Amino acid sequence: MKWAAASSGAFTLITRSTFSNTAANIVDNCFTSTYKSYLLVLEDITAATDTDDLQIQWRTGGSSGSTHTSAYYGASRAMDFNPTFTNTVSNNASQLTLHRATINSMALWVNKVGNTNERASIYGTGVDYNYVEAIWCGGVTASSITATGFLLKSSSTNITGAVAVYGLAI
Amino acid sequence: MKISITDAETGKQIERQMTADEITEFNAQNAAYAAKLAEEEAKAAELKAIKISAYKKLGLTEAEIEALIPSLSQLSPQA
Repeated sequence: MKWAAASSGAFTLITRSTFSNTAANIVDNCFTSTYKSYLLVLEDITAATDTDDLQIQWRTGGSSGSTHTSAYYGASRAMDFNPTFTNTVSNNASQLTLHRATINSMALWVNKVGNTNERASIYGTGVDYNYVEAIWCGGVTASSITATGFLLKSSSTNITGAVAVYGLAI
Repeated sequence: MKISITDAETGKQIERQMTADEITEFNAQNAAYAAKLAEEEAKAAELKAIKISAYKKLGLTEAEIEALIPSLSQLSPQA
């Protein structure tokens, strides 16, 4: 008996960017038709005011494109050690709220991006260092778009951190 | 207000000041979100008050109501 070599399924780092005290962080041209699934790793994202909500918006049209600002639907649930649950919803919003605070690390799967007319979706988990909570979240756009990138922001103050984008080979 | 932009195709990252139009749009989105959040929190508070009132009518003690109220956080946003 011997181990068979894996033939596929490798992660490919597409880009990683760091940002410090910026109102928004945009990553363009990271979603293409090359991959069906992408992993966003949000590394220790903080806001000037920790309790500001962490939000994401899709970008369309590449580096000369624009930010999609309508019809985001989704939900986020956080559970602390008591355990107490806190829900945050996005109901036909201008952005998808990933969590009720911005002092966290998250791993988020992204599908239905990089190709024409898809309802971009995102789901994943994370941890909040301030409230000390586990986070689950997910959301989609109601309208079909061609997402080529994303924008990270808080609901009010500047953010600091790093984000890496991986493509998952089929 | 600054914005960081990374182009994964070229690998280049820039940081620049947001334009006046971008700031206006950005602030408008944040203001709309804050207003919606406040509205949802008010609805949650109202629901909580109704629940407390109903529990009191049932003759529950303050401690018993306190034990039941956390379940409200599962019913409403940002409760």
